[in-house]
Amino acid sequence: MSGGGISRRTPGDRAMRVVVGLVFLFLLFPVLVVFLSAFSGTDAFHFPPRGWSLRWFEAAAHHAEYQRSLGISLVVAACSALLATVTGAMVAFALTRGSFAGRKLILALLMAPLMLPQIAWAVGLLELSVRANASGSVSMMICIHATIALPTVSRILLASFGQLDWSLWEAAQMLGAGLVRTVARVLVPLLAPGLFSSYFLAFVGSFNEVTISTFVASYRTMTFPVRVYVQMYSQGIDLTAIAISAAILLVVIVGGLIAERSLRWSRWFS
Amino acid sequence: MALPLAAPALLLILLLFCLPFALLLEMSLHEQVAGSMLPSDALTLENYRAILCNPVYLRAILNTLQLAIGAASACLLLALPAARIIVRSKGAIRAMLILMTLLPTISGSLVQTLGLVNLMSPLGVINGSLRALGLIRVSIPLLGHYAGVLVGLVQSFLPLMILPLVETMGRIPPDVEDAAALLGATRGEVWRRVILPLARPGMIAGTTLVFFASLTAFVTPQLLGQGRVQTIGTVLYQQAVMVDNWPLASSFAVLLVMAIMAIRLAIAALQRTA
Repeated sequence: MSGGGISRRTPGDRAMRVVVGLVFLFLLFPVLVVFLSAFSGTDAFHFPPRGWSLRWFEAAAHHAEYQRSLGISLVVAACSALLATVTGAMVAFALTRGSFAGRKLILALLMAPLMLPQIAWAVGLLELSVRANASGSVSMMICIHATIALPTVSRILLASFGQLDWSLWEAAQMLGAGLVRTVARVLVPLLAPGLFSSYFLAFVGSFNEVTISTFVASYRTMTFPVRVYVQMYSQGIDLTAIAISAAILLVVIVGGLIAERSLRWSRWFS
Repeated sequence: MALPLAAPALLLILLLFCLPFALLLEMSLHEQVAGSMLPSDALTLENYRAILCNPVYLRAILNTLQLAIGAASACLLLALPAARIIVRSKGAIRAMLILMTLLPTISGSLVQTLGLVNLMSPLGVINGSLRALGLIRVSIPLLGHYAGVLVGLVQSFLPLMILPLVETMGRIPPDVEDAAALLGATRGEVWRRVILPLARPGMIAGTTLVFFASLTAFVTPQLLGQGRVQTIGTVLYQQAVMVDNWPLASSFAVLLVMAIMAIRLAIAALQRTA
């Protein structure tokens, strides 16, 4: 243990290690099961598995419905993450540089979505979408997902704006760089880790969002998680959906590890 | 130039966060006209009365409270040793453990639930292993029962408990524990009199997060409860999406929001006096 020479390894320590090992196993087990069942050789998932195959990945490659919803998911995630990152960066800039009345109010409004339950928000958004005749609109879904991501994104960007050395900004302006050039050549490169982390988290958050999307989505805006949810609720587990989820998960894990190595984004969580 | 820069983000929040809650409040004061999709014109508190007098809804609220308390307690018990090990480890191992804690959050609740269904189904991992070991003949029913939903909630929300605990426990200097041990405190006493009191803010933060997350959970009870476990989330979905009774769903949502705000205020007041 790290407590110097005083505390020694005792049976109690070992017991705790075993317990913690089991806790992490429990935490990660569903993900492992998803990977196991994606390669199942049988029609339903059995444990212990009875044979392996790639048939569910083949089925996924020919499943037009899932592919359509994956396309919607990608568009919504890419656009909403961009919208959240750009608007979040603008408001973080305003809050860091300006000292004006209402600063506290703006901050409270930005963080407000974290305070109220998403399930109630979902009911309100359903009513708004239908009344505004926007329930089939992909742009509406994009704006909703961007709003969900705003608190997280603004928090990260406020932190990275706070660490910024503003004398570089002033130096660039004094040396005659215009506003656009200062933003593009000085601000964005300096903020790149925060901007990238924001975009990544907003993208993944949107791609995984189920609760609000399930309430709001219509056929034209049905994202992949909603499609899987509907399938699962009405007909039970579909191993084709599991195979797609396993593939997505692999991309997210690899992407996350690369991002961690280059940007150390786990620091935003501790 | 500050305010125009803040405008787009504020517009999103006002139109897509504040406005929906205002609509919710307004809709909750109308009654659903029987045989019609439209709410009545007159203002009424009838929906609130209907919810608070209906045993089915009260049962759902009670179920949810029990599940949330159960999930928060179980998460606290499991997260304390886990956070302790994370805090005590260093470098790459520590980063790895934090990433493992974050993985369920990053992979999303749906993937988790897909895995949990396969874990707990009659042919799944738990029942399969127990059968292979000869411990049971007939599968234990987990899906569609409280036990299954509870396991799902604990699994989904455990990271919400571990992360704040790591944050506060990481700030306890190791010298404090060493001093207590030197002065003759046993391991149990070090936990009880040093670690737990110093970790209190993290314990409160984590418990609050898990409790609220479980109270308002939707995907986990809906899919693991298989329609047989009614919670606040599943009732809201039924009323809002499946039977289109918006006034009733809105009232239920407003009650939930008010309850959560009341609990938050109470916790804040308690912390101020403590």
